[in-house]
Amino acid sequence: MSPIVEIDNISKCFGSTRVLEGVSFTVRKGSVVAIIGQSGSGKSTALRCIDRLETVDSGHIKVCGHDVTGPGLDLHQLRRDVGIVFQSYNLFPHLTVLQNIMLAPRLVQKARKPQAHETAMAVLNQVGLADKADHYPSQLSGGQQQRVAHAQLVQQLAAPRALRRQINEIGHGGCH
Amino acid sequence: MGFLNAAHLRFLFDGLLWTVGLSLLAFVGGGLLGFAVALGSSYGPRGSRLLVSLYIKLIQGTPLLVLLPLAYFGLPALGLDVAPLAAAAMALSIYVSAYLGEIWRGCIESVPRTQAEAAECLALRWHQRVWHVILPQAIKIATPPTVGFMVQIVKNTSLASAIGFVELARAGQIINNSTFEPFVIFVIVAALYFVLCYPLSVLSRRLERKFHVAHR
Repeated sequence: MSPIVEIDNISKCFGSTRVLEGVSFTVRKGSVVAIIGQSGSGKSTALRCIDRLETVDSGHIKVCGHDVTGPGLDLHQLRRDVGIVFQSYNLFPHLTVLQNIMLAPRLVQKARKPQAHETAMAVLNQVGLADKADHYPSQLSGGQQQRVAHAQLVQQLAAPRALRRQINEIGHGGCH
Repeated sequence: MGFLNAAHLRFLFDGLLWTVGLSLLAFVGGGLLGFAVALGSSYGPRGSRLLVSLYIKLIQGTPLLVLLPLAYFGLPALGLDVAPLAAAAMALSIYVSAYLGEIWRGCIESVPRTQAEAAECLALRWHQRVWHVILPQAIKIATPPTVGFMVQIVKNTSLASAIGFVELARAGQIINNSTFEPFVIFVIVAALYFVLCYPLSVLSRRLERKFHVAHR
């Protein structure tokens, strides 16, 4: 079976700073991979390249059947298939926890409101934050915000057509 | 104050209504145009950004006292028939749009970039990112300075007297021309402007405090 993520010899510079140089690795479906390194060593940049938040200078990336570095990339479908939890979680501060989680299902998957509400509450239950549904992110602790971000991610990828695969950033917490 | 009769007060009140009306026109027209300016300079392609920035610099570098006659006298000279109210509304709107557009561009850009990225990663389309993620946050930031700028608009409508509008300031001048009591008349006019502007200043400050503690 072909790997879910294939990174082939990618390089990336920010001005004169070489962030990634000839990086290659593959990730098999169902495996959990931790990328460990000093701060500033390019872990996040590599991850951002996988979701095409950054473009690489050279090399090839394939994710979930998308040729990220090739021509004719369906960026929208890539974003539907790949999820990221950012280092600072990046919840939307003007929306409640519930609204944060319902945003992608409502707008991207065009889920009906009662249905989106129901699944969002189910996911919030899973992460143990059902009682915080109507709170704003600023009213939550860092750890709680992180759990909401995970719930948001699960919701995004829980679409019937989506491939139910996720890339999780291990960056926060362990390896600073 | 025996020299002031009911007709004078009525005249001043009509002037006040014109000031309020012109302010509303300027704010609505300038707001719509300013929104386009803000979007154009934040999200437009390179060419349109340059064009919009040129527009902002051009208008901000031109006195309103020149823009108003330009619309009222200048356009008819080119063969375009413009009603006085339309000319005033146009000149005021264009003037206001250059300032509101610039204020709002700053507010849109002060929403952290990571917010747009997070929305992008959730596969939201461009218009969904702008509408559901960026603008709600930008509007919160923009409200206090916008309400503050409305004070400037109210005061700047006095310049519409240059093209014949008898708004509050002009009404005061006219009454003074017949009564020769400048101090009393202009104190009354100033007080009326203050009554219009003070609530806006207070509102602006209150909103600032409110959004400062709100969930940002």
